[in-house]
Amino acid sequence: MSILIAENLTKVYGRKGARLVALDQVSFEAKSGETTLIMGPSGSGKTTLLLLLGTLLCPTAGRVLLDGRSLSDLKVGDLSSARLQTIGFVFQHFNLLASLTAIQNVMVPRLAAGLGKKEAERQAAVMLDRFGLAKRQHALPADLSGGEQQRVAIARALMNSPTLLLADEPTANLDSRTGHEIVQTLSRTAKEEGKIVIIVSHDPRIQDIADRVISLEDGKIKERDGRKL
Amino acid sequence: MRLLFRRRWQKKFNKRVGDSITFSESDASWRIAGLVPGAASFGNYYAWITYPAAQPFVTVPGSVSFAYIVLDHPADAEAVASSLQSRYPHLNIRSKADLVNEEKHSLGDSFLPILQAILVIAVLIGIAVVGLTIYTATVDKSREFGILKAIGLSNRQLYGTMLVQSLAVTALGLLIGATLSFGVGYLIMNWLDLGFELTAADIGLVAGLAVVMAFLASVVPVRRLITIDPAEVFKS
Ligand SMILES: Nc1ncnc2c1ncn2[C@@H]1O[C@H](COP(=O)(O)OP(=O)(O)O)[C@@H](O)[C@H]1O
Ligand SMILES: [Mg+2]
Repeated sequence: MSILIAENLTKVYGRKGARLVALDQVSFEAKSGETTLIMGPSGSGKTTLLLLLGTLLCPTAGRVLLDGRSLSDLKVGDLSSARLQTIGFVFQHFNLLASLTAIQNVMVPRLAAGLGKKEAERQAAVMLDRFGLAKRQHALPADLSGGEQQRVAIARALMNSPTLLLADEPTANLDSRTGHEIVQTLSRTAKEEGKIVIIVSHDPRIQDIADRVISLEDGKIKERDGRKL
Repeated sequence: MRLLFRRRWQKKFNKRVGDSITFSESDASWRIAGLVPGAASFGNYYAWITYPAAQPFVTVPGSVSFAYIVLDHPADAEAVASSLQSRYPHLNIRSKADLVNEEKHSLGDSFLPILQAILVIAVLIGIAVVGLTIYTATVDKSREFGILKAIGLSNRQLYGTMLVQSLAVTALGLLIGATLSFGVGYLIMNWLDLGFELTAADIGLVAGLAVVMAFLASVVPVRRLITIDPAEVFKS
């Protein structure tokens, strides 16, 4: 059982002249098996929050705790290995490596973690099969549909068995049916594998599958699970 | 009258031993009496004729510019040279080793600095070209590098990728360059009627320089690589 705690997360962009408080004292908790949905209009700070949770951005104040360990206090050199081992990302634009086939994309995190090519390939094939992509292993991203690309991206994000799975607008580039399937896949992954899943979206249709909904506005939490603050 | 001829010239002038040859400067017809191996020279043509046959061509009949002396005991060369020199102070007497050395140096002194300058320029151009190639590739692939950073590849792993690219580009360049210089060098030297030599040491030196080049060429791209922000891949 893992637990993620966002503690008074604050992010200020820019310097004195043009300061922008993108995120203001945001706190919440999420546990293994749960899917947290972060909603809010464009510019409300959703991506900033996800970047802070994913160690891709350093908070101006506050911290991120994963199982009691502060990710925000890690040294720069340790951040990449923390990401590699414990965090998986799913993006709005899929972000597969265009020159690599589906299976090669999925192998990348395992290879980066030091696994041999044979074993990485075997594990990647198993993972792709789980997401119904066994027949698409050797296709290039350009030859895959949006839904397929996003499933490859999810497979890639799960390869190093991360504790935390972070998805930024994973459905924005998909039709609504495919988008719904992707979100269901993510929340099922949370339940079946005990991942902490955080999904950023401004699509209200996916609210029902989340265990927790956090609504942001101007960098502040406006609603939790439908209750106004 | 008879003359000796460079072996390589048989093809060039389409003449064999026993054939006759005439030169525009003279009406005399020469019969090729034999062949001499090697004897390549930069910018000069040599043929060998007997001293009496040469008399019509020399300004002061009976004189020579130089003469070679063959010793029964070549080991005595230095001693014989110095004793001859003291007996004939107005002559310039050299042992074979000294003569070879002098010739080598006079050639090297005039050409070597030029060649070295060309080499330095070539290496600098190589660094610039490989560097630019890798830099362009890095800028081109900055989103890919951002994705890899987000996934959690360390900077060291990414440098590794870049260095492999850099080395691959350099190796390709080395292969093309070596093939070209071997081919062109051979053709030019053949055209100048000189021998062509490319030693393993030369190739080793260039390969070593190329590896250094690959490293230097990746310095600027690496700085660019460091500045790639993985947060960028979250934007469209
Ligand atoms: N790197 C940045 N520098 C300056 N301002 C930024 C940067 N990234 C985001 N912002 C600003 O911060 C606010 C929140 O942005 P973001 O987190 O991307 O919102 P969302 O994902 O909800 O659309 C916006 O006003 C945006 O313009
Ligand atoms: Mg966003």
